[in-house]
Amino acid sequence: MSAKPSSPAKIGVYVCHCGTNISGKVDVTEAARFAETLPGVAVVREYKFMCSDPGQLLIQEDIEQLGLQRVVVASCSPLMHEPTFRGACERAHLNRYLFQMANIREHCSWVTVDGGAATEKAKVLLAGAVARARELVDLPTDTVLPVGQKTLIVGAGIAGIQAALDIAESGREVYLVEKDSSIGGHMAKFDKTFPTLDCAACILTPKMVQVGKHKNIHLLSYAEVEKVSGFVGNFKVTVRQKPRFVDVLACTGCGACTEVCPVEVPYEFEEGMAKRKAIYRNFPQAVPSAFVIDHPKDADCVLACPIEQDVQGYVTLIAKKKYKEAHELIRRTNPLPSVCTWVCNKACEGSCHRRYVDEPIAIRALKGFAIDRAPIETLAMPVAEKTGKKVLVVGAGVAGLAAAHDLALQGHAVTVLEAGAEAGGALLAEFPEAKLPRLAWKRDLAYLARLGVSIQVNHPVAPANLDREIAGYDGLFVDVAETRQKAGEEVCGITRGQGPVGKLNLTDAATASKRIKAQKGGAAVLQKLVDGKRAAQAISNFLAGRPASAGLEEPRSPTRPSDEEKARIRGEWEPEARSEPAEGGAYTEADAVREASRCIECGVCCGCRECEKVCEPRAIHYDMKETRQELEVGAILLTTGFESFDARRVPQYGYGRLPNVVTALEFERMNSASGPTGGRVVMASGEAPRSVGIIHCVGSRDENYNRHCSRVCCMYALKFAHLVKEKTSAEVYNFYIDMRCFGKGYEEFYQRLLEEDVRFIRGRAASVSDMALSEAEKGKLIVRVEDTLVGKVRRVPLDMVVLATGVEAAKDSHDVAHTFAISRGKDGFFLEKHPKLAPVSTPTDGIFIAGACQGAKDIPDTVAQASGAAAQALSLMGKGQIQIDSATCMVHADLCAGCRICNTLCPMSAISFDVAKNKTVINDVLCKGCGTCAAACPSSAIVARHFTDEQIYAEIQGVLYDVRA
Amino acid sequence: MTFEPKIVGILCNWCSYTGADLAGTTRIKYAPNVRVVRVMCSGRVDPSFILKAFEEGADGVLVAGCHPGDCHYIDGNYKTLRRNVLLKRMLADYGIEPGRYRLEWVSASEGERWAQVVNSITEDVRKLGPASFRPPKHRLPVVDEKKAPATRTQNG
Repeated sequence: MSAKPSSPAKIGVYVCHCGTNISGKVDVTEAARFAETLPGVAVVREYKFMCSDPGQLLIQEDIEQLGLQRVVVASCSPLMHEPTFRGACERAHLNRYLFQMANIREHCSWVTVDGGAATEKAKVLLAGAVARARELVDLPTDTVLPVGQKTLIVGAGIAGIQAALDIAESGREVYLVEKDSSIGGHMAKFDKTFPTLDCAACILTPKMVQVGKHKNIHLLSYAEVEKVSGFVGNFKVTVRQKPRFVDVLACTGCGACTEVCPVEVPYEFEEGMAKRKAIYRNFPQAVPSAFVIDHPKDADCVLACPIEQDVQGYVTLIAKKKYKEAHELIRRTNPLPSVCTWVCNKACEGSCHRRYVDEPIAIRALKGFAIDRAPIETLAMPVAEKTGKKVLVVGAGVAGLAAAHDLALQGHAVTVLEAGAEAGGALLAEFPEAKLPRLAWKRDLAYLARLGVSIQVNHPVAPANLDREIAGYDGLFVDVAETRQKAGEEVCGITRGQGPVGKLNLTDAATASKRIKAQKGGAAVLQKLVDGKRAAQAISNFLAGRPASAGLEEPRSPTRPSDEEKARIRGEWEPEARSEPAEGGAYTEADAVREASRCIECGVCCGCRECEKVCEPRAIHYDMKETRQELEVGAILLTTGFESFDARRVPQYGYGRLPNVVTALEFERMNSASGPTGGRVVMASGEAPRSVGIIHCVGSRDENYNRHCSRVCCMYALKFAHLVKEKTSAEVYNFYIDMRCFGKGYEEFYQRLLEEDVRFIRGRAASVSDMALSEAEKGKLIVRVEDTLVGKVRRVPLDMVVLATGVEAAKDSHDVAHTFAISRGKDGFFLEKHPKLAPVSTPTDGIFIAGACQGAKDIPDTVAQASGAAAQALSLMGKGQIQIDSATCMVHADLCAGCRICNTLCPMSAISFDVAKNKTVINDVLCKGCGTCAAACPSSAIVARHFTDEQIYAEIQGVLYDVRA
Repeated sequence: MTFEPKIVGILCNWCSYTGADLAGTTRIKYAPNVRVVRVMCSGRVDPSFILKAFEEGADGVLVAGCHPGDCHYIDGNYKTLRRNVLLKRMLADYGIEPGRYRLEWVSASEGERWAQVVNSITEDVRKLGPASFRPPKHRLPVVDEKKAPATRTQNG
């Protein structure tokens, strides 16, 4: 010990017995006597419970009477009682940062078998704590910051709804973020609630409506939190608003759109037991009540097309026999679709996802079919507001006509001058009748004529005459090679009034033409289409005074689906033969519809715009983009809920394979009057079952899946049993391990069910199969189970089996935890600060958790916890200000060499660089004191306060005191 | 008497220290050989801390932080991981066997894992025997007089 430096500090050491928690293992007296020998120690005391009031008073009195300068308490974890003892020090006017703890309970007495070893370890930890205490310095305690008075709540299930209402009622504003299009969460799917059997919707929807109407609640549905920065009281949150494509305020919820929508996909809200349209809402009482268009991405066929034709849209319309609409949709983007059906190189078919199942859709042939079926004369023409601008196009080649088409669609008056005797230019020269029938070409010309494009043939424009010809026009596009060259550069000149006022280089407008650099053939035709369309956009921009590049983004490319995605597609669709028209022939209607029906709707919404046509309040906006907004909040509440266990993971129960094995949520929806069966309990055949089995603990209390008890399954299984009894005359069997009916009124409900003649078989079901061994088992589902009360294996033949699937942490809980910098337990649920005493707090101050995201729980517990978390948030905001921890990093400017090594390390962006002074600066408020910069500073200019190099060296030296002893 | 290795454990506050607390709360028993020093983040671990521990006579050093991706400070543990590579080479140059130093990830919910990690490094170091890297008998005090006034304010 002689090597220890003597220090002027007067240290008080307090060793806690913690009842027998510490003293049962550690010889506290010996440890205390040892502490007396440590340098600087002025007084050592042991006490039964240091954290008790008398224990704390002991410290306070010693500080005041003995003039202690440092305090060390050897007891439990600092994460538990450091704030307690720091408080005691402060009451005796000792700086809170002069306190140090030695953890001789969690890290010593509780984990060590041998008492002697535990006592030795306690001494080591004490020596370390005392050595560190000698090095402690006081830090400012008067830095306070205001607490923001708004709260962010993430997840609008019953927990989020309850907490939002509690906080909003106090007069404070709440941002309620929900990733789904409606609030309500799982509870909205339930039919009845146990044990009272009141209807879930009846008690939930009034609260949902309240949330929707409350003036203090800003509901951000169909949105997700992307980024969180800042700290308690002062969080900055970035919320990403996914495009809903429907104006929430304008939509009246009439539902006319769903009737015309041609796309049908599995209905998630109905657990896939029904189909919904691409434009939908979860349920009639949804809040907000507005519909939403499900369109996560554009389909790859669209992205692969150089002009991004709405492929999915017209294919889907053809499948629904809406040929005229399909043809109209084709003409919205493609100036020469009839030509394309002959010459295009079918990039769309090359990236069609159907090819992962069997073969791509015959897209080009289908386009030809739609154009054939709906003659040009019958098409409804798009209505464009006239701009009053006149544009001249010189040259009726592919690019010229493409430009003319798009300009006309934008409402400009377009005149095309062609030197030859007919429009078409090089196209017709390159493609003879056999490769491109003139009839197809004429069709496209006919459509242009209907658009009001005037084509004047035999009207050559000599380069020298260009200036004269453009008199009276506002814009000019030149699609004649010689004329362009004459003008000295590849230009589409733009004029206004008498003389040219602006020129736009065609290659600028079309630089990003998609990947095609072909000179000849179909690819070259597409290249010219793109050139013409982009030039038209550039000219329109100019005429409307928009920036030249508006709407001329980089072309997009098809995505490459991951292997999982490919496997999903393969699993979801049955192979079906591709039907194509015979060589040179045309599709029969039946073949075309069958072929179009093979589309797997990659983009969900196909972009056919049928809903837009029927929406009277004009609430549908296809051009809606993803947006982001920044929120500033004082507190954050996570109520992100749970996910139901995927029953497919237990193959022996046959879910997904045997038709009458259903999950709990499916059964809930089946019981709901607004559900897929209208509230009837039926088998796949549509008949009512005569016997129903309910298998408990599916995915819960199982080493293979989740070890935890899901806490709700026993009770909802009883509820199900009751509902089956009520609605059918079926026998009901419960296969359970233990009945856990612990809540208020739960046991009574169990007793009631016992009297309702429901069978209870104690034993975990081994398997569900359709392998009949006897006549009685034929056509039934057979549950094999060991009846542990009788002690024999039974085979129970049943009509229907309900799997009581457990409650699991949400799949994205890892990402959520990462975004908010909180931890998760082994089971994936968010970790609370203390399992008993701080169940809704997290280690990150200002972030609270409630409901099933913290662990499986039922509705009453969820609501109680939500109100608890709301109270915590309110108490934080009510305080008005918070003390900022001074254990942050600071730069000694005189030592900083300006090397900037630390500049890129800070995760909180608290480090900036003062170029004028050539010094690094740390923002005290942003710094959270992790010390990464201090560890990296080569000149030790950065001090991690309260965790300085000296303090840590001393502690290391302390815990190794016995090396030299 | 069997050789009982003296191992210094430097633990991040949010994951590993909490995980070690959990081992205590659930009363998992493990070897008493690791002496824990708490830092806020494994990113705070200056390689000199490890050198210091060996200089002071530690037989082994264990640094533990949050799992990659779970760091309370977003990515402090990645910085530790980066420094770790060079540090290992340096320790080898000092003649310190690789088994004496370890970087481990222990989350706040991995009480059992913490116990396993402690037992495992204890066994490894026990096999290696006492560290041959011993500090000189007489050396300068770490904290010199002029730098250690009774109370010093760092409020720069």
